[in-house]
Amino acid sequence: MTDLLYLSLQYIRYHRAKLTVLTLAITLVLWLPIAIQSIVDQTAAQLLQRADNTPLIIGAPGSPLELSLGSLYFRSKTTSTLPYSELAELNNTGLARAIPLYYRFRSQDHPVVGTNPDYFEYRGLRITAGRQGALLGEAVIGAAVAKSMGIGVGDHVITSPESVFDLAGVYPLKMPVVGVLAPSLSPDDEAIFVDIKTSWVIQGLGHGHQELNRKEAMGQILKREGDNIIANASVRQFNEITADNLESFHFHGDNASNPISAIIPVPPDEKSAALLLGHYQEERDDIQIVRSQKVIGELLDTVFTVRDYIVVGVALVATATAIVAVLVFYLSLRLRKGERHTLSRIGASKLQVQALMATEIITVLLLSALLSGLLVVITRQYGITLIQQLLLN
Amino acid sequence: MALELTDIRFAYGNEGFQLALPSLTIEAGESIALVGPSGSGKTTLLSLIAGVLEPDQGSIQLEGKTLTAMGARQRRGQRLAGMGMIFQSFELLDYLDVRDNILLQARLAPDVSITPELEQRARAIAMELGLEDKWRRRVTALSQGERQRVAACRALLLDPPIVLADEPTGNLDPQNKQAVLDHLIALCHRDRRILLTVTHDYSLLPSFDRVLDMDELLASEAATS
Amino acid sequence: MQLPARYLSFIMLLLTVIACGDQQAPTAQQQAERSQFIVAANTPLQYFAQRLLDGEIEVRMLAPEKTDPAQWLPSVGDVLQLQQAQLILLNGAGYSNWLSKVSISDSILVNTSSTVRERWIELEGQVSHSHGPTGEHAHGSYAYTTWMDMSLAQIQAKAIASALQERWPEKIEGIDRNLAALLADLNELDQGFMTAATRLRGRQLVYSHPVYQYFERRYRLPGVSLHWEPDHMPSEEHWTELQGLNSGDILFIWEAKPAAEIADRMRKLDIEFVVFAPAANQREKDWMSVQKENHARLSSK
Repeated sequence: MTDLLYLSLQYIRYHRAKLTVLTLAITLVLWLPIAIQSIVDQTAAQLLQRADNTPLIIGAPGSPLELSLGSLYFRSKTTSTLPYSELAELNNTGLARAIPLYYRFRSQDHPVVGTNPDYFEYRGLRITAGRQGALLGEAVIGAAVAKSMGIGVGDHVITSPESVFDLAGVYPLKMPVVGVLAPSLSPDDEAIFVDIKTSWVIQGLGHGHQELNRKEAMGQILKREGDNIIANASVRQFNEITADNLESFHFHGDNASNPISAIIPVPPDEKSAALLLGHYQEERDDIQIVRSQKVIGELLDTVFTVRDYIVVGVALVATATAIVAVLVFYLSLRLRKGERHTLSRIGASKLQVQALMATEIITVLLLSALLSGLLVVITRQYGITLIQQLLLN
Repeated sequence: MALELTDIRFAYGNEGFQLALPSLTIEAGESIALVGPSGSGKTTLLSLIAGVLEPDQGSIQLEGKTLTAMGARQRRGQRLAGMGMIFQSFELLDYLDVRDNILLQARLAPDVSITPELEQRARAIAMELGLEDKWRRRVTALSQGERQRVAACRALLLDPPIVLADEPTGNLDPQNKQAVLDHLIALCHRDRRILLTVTHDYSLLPSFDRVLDMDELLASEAATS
Repeated sequence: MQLPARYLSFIMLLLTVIACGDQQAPTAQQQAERSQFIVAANTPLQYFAQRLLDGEIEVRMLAPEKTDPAQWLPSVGDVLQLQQAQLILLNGAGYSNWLSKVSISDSILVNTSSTVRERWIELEGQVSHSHGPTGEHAHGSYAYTTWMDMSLAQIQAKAIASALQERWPEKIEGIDRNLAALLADLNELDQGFMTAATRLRGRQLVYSHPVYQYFERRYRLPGVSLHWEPDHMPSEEHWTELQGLNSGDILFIWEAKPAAEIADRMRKLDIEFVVFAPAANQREKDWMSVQKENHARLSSK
């Protein structure tokens, strides 16, 4: 037996290039359909888990899908908003704790999400470095943001202008990073979190001025009328909120009318959730409440259909590969006719000859099965993470 | 008394070639050339002695063992461990090197295991046949003469009492032919092995102790019957 | 060198993933065991909450002593503490200006006067001015010392009670009992102020600071508001301004006891004065005692 194995090994060594290619081809076609299915399923599970954890979302009327994608994964292009007063209104119903979200702005590729400390508690987000955001203008970044931008506590993030020709005067805001979140394997890893009021500052709804009674500002003061100081337009708009200018920051008008993208209601129990749903569905036309599981479920149905098409495609490729593999084995066996002849002339038994011939096929199939099995395990276990990691680098 | 064939009869199926050999005795250490026209039954006779074919009747004895009384399995064991075989087409495996080709027959033999001693012996034979510097070479890199020497090494490895060679020099050039054959005959003489060689090459016949003409062997049958 | 580094980061990644699986959120019990506390924006609210809770839960006030809690700007440490509070009791009417500069969840904020928004007193124009050690500051657009009107103070006390009851339903009955007693006390103060006020009708009232708007309205004691500091000798112009007020029968109402030299000068000028402390940031005595003393002093005039 060991002698036969030895001979097979010699054969495999001699033909290693051919057999490696064959093994890899079979491995791939075995692995791919399972991998696609598994990764789609994992993604779906993650998407659904997020939706399950966030069953209700309140937002401006419009596409429920946009609202859900925006509020769950911060991926949305819509700019429709709700007034902030809706938050207090919802809190006042006593049916749910209301968490605001404003995800209009970005810093490079990362969403800048305006919210409040309730969000972190709600999502179970942990700070690994630094601290929770406390003051206006401070940012807490997700683990993936820290990694991809190579920044941490003490560094800064700068909001990106919405368009190059944004003449309306939305100045990029430079925000100190005061905390980094532990990885949560969720869209929160990709986000930069700021206080809801900071996102209004980004929008230009709140701002600070130089202290006009300071000496540096003298050149900019046109006239003094008693306590009233009139300054010219060159007064610098702060693009950074610091300990020195924090006090000068203020909001024009009432926060109640400031915009937010969505509200996540957190009802204490099922009954409150039902009442809440009824309240918004029946009594409010200017606001929508969506059940994210339903919305994301519908989205996933489409994804699953696409996945099925892909899997069918890959299965066809797999069939073709299997046929080619059979052909390769067949040709190989024909090429080894001389070898078989030699072996039997020397005195090898039929069984020995067959075993030697079979080891080639068995080795290739076994190796492919092992490799693809290993890949499947890795895919199942770490597929999403690895893909996320690949996308990051 | 090394090899003794008595009253051998063999036919392929019901029709066609038939072979009948009343008796043939070859002593140990004898080198025999088996000649005869194509289709005269040279290879059939070799196959019967090797146990690849089974005679319809008669007996074959090698060193006192009656091969014809053995079962197929036993015969195969006998062939692998107790006979050396050399073929016109060398019958070497391309994916094995010289060493492994020499050891191939031993590996296939049921009761033989590859010991360091056996490997030592293989190396020694290879050295005798001028292959010492080719030991780990692949056989595809060798000349025809070298290949046949590898095949000869394989045939001699397990110290068989008999070496059966079917046109062993058929693929070799004239110089190599004589050299390989001389080597083989010298080794068989020295170790008192029978060398039974089928050949068409009459120029080689003087090297052999005895030349057996197939027609004469079978004719004696015709005469007796 | 690059390859091992890559492997290393891959292994680190796997470890991170594995480690993530083991993390556990603090259990509800752990959270409950974490010391519970609430924060009040000023002394009156703190006092109301303490009365209602009977000391069962700590009621903190984070603004340091001798500062105006309305003008306070919390430090990062303060904010992190505020974020941990079960509830933050706010006065409303733009009292806690710092709120717009910090990150705190709405769900823990209790605006104690939001139900009577229509009773907030709007200030005419926003005046920016500078005085004292706190430097320049601007008041909000509403007058915010709402508790100086004891009927509003009662509404604020009720608002605190219902917020506490919602947060700690198991304490509903106790809070109800305590609320009744508190309301009775506040009502008594209200009546007392009313009575005292009737005796002051017709006098020229001068208030050291514009923090008495609700008091003036509730007890019908309108007056002139200045910006005098009790520990800072006003300028001659200010004194002239005061003497220029046409009625001779002035009652000057101080937020706190004036410095001796100021008091002397007032006596020389025959200007009667009385201390009536809003007690927004009161540490030595409890807020009710201060109000009772206010009442006693006012009644003596």
